[in-house]
Amino acid sequence: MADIRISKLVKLYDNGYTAVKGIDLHIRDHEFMVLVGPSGCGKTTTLRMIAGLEDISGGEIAIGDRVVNSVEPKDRDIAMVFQNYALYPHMTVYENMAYGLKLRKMPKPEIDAKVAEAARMLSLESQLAKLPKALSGGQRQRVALGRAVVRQPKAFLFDEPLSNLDAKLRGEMRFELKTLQNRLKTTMVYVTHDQIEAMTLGDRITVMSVGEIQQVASPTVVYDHPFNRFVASFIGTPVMNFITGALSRDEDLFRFAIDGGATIGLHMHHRQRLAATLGEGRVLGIRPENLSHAGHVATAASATRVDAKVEVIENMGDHQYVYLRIGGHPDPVVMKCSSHHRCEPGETIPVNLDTSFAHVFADGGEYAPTLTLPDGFQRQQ
Amino acid sequence: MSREKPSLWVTISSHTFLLAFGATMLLPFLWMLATSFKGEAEVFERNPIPMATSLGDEGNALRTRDGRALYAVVRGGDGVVTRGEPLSVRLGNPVQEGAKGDRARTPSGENLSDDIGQPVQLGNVLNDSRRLGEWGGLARFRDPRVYVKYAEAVTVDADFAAPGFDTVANEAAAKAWFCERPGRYAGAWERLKQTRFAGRVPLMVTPAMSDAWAPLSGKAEPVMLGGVRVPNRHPHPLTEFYQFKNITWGQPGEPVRDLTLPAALCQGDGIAVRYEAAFPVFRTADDPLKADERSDLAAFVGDEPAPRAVLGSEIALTRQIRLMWSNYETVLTDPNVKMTLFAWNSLFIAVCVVALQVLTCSLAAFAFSRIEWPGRDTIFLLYLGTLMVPGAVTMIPNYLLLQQFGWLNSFFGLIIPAAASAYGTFMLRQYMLTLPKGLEEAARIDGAGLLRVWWDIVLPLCKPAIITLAIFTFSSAWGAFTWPLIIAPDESVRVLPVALKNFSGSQSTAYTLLMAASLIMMLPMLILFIFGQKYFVKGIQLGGVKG
Repeated sequence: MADIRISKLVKLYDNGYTAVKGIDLHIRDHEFMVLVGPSGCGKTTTLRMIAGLEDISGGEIAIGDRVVNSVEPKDRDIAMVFQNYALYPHMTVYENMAYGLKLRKMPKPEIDAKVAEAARMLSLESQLAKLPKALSGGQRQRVALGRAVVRQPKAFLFDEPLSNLDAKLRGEMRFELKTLQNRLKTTMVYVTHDQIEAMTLGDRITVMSVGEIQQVASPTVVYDHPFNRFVASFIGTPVMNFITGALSRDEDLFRFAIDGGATIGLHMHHRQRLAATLGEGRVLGIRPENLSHAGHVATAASATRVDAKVEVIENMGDHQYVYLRIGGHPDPVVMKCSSHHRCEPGETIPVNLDTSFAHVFADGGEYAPTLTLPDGFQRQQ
Repeated sequence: MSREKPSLWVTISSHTFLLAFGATMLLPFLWMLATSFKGEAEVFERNPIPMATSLGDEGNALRTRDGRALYAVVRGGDGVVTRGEPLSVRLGNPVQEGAKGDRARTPSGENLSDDIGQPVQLGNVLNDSRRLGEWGGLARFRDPRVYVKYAEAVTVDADFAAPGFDTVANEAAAKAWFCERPGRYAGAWERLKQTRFAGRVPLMVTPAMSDAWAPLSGKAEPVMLGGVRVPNRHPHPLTEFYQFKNITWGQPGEPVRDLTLPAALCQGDGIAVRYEAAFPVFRTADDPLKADERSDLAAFVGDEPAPRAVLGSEIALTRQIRLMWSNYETVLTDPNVKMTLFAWNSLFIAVCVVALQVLTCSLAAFAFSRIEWPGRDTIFLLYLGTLMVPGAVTMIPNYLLLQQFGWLNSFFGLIIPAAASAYGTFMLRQYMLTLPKGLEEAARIDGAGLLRVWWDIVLPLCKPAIITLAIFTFSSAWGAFTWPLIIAPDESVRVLPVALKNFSGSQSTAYTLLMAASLIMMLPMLILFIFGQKYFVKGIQLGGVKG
């Protein structure tokens, strides 16, 4: 069991592309750390550098107390689960799982015991004699997990392990992974581009983009206090609404004048921090679930009621996403509400904008910092 | 859009066309097969089916167009035959034992008596006398009566004198031999003497004959072709007789059939004996005698009781399909051919080459496809470029190099230069590139070093490509001719394709044995092809056919 320390890690490819731009990250012992970000953000490259499958161009990686920059993958005492399972097609499930142990010259009875245990844990007992091609996708992924588990490594690395599965299986496997982690209590590094996996699995989440770390925190913190606009937009479905407008202050009351529309009051915590930056162009970030149909839901004290025109409705069954146009605001805003809160496209409805969990961002593009963070809030925590 | 079914006519004509082409491709092979089962003299016959004429029963006798059976009742002529010339023989006396008259006749009653002593045209000699001797000639028969030649007896003039020779006793012995034993030509000695021996008397073996009466021997040593003794077809008729050792010098009381006398025994300065036909020795129609026939012949001529056979009875000739398995037997078992030695050599070399090539090519392909190192692709291109260099160009430098290593006439010289190949590396590399990189990475994380990855993961997954490579390598190593011929001519390291050359000498070629040996050599490849068809096709898909 070990923690993983990454400092000033750089990956520079031969063609001049910098995939990882000097990141620092501490993955704690026993922690389930999820690296999440869009394609090309460097998360997989980082993971592969931890595994030793990619050379490190700069910086340092330490597993436990040992700097592993020049250590062969096989000597790093880690296990990795690949996106496409990477099961050895010519070996049976048993042989796949036993291969790593065999290479470590473990005695046969011990190998048998370990494989049997892992197989039981992953309900693969009846599949041991089969070849991987005879298994379903979910079973293959479990074999890949089993192959990692039997080794009892210092750390598990997962490279988008669920992305080849269908939605239902993915749900099941998420559950199994969570159970596994609770049982094994081993350091796990999990790469995904799926923010649901990130939110549900991770003890902490590392949000990455363009080779840099945007924020490291627990799922709740990342969700509630995105460090910048990128994190805010990346985490959460549907995506947080970004409303442009101008900020003003009337005594204790902060107001936000939506471009081309109404003015609403801001009620989030830490709004006092906005005082220093009044008058400049700002972006209000408000999640779709903080909007509600005022015809069905009472307007809370922290909410402002505005009129909006319904443009498109996406019905998800129990809830629906309603695309609304507030006055002349250039982008539509999305409201997530119960599908029983009926409305029709073209109709103008009253909408509650609850700003108690909203954020204000500087008007600096995609990576604009969040202005409404608590005092002393760290990018990595 | 469904394709229209081609019309019946198109189907039939295209199938015919393809079958015709297929058959054309098969012809050389069929010729090999047929020839390997033929007798030596049949080789250039137009008839592709191996046939033999033998002395058969009446029911299966060869027949003329008008239905008459063919009989062998001939005595030979003399002189040397040459290719292209007409060949004729004189009909011998077809005396039937105990017969009513000395009538040469066919079973249908046709009287041949008038022909006795007259030359009968056999046809043009198709092969020269060296091979066939005075009497034979590979001739196409025109006359159904004509067939075989006689064995000769040595006959002596009345004034023949030699130490220990008694003319009277000799004639008595001859009479006893030819006329007085049961079933023989009883009581007709004088007539027999006149017709068969032209007034002379056969020389009979007596106990008094000393070593000075040396049987003719050692004059014509058999030629060795491919390690097989092939009788030397010397023009002198005696040499051919020499084959029948067991009858050349008989027991006392038998006729002498093969004799040379030292000058001391001769009257005047010549040999005072003459050869005459005494026994009909049947040759097959157009074929020198084969081992099995020789024993027939021995029984026929010498053994008791064989009264019918003696003195030119009519013997029906039959012609039937005869597969000369003995060709294969000779090739495989004759200790002089050493086929097994060469086969082991070939097999050993081919197996070594395959093993080494799979090893080196897969390692190189692994390095070229799965390991990153500077300059990799450039070096690979250079490597691949060697495929463009024709083998003939490097032959001399390679030879000189091996000479310096002292590897001429050794297995090293045959194996090591073929132990690596750019083609194999290329083929395996292309295949390895298709393997997912994840497997290798998984193995490295599982604890495998590069060699382990190669052995445990890459090799098993490359099995189809490796089998293909092995098959192609085996086939080219097994069939290699030029290089082994140059580098290792010694018998101890000779390989099969080179050894095949042994079957042809400067004068002649033992085609039947050559073809049998060639077929035996083809067999492993044929089996390999039958069981490895899938991989042959795969090989062609993977990297084109090996040049």
